[in-house]
Amino acid sequence: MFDLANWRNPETLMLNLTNGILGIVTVVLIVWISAEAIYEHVVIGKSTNAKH
Amino acid sequence: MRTLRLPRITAGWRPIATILILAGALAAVARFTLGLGATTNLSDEFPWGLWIGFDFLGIGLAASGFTIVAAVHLFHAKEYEPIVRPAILTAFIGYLLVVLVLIIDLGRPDHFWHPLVMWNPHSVMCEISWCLMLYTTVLSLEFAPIILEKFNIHSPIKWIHAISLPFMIFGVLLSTLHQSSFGSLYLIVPNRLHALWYTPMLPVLFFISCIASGLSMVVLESLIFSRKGRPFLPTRLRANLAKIIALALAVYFVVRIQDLLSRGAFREMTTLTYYSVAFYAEILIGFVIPFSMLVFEKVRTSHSGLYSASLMVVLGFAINRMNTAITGLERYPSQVYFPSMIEIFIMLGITAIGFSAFSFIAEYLPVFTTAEAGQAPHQNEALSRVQEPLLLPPECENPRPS
Repeated sequence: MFDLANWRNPETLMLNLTNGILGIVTVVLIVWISAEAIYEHVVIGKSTNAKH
Repeated sequence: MRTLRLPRITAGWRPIATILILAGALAAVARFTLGLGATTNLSDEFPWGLWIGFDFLGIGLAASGFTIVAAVHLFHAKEYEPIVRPAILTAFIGYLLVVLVLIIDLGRPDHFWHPLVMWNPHSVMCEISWCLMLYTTVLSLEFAPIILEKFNIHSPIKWIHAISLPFMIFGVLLSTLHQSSFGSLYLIVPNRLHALWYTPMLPVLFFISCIASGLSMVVLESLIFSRKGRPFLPTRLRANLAKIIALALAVYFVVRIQDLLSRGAFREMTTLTYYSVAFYAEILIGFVIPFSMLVFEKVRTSHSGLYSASLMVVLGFAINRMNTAITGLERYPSQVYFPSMIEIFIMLGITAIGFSAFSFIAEYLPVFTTAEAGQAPHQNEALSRVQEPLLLPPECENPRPS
């Protein structure tokens, strides 16, 4: 995915940068969606218990 | 019984969709500046990958457009009138996105217009290109009244209505042709596509499965979008759609299994391999389990049951198309293909554009208002016959998608 040997080549540099940004976006989205899911689960669990 | 909650994200899905669209745009810039070879994992040995699978998926899910239009306008099932506009919108967005993906997937995107003037009638591609272009045009004509109504421009609407019937018949014909032609594309690789997916019956199977998936999309939309505490489509009509889905699933399953057995592929089915696992995943998730659920009246009339079954049909359909486009082709020349980050993000970005466009249009244009406002006396009459008391689970009260 990353070509570090020829990183000075403009095309390789652009490809490495694009893949790097997309990698960061992937990590951010996975963490975000997982955190949301856990948060939702905890909140719903608490509110259901409170009702009972 | 515990009701199923629709997926909901606290901060809303819009920020995530925005990130995906921006990332997709960045990936598209890289694809156009650096070329297919540098940015994708496609090669001469594996020229069709994730994007072609996405095309099959998008076209199949957009099949709701022609199935519902045919039911309402050609077979006069007027009680389904409220779902016509959402179905046309789904189809229109689906086709536009597929056209976009195809342009990105072309080695020479600037030559996208060549099929218009350089015909090759011996190629299935020629028929698919023409059907795609013509049906997208028909869909834009079917969709135009929605925009014109919003801006109170009525004279073109009368003109469009006057010519709408031949166009609708033409649209249904084109859809039938190219939904099956997508299957015909793979008839040229009998020695390469795995025996579990290759069959001369591929066009028939593609057509039958798109009916089930298109109708499942309509059912999902009618469950997700509802207004004023009333389901968008009455339960009885949803249950009737579910019956048709179950019938399509049963026909598909029988044809598929019968075909596999007649071609001597039983050994492939009973041997535990990567391919057989993928095969059983699609058959069980997309066909056997939802069919077993939908044969019960209780499931067809239940909000959560129908939601789960329709979702499974759509998911199984997605697995089937990806298996045909990717998994089945990995057998020969034993090359494993996994899409690159750029391929994945372009696909996710385009999917996010589709969701955002649907949400925006549903919010600002009169797509989901036909049932309330009533377009014509016969429609109101048909609707009044199927109205039902306001008995709804709480999750139906939100008119916007979660």
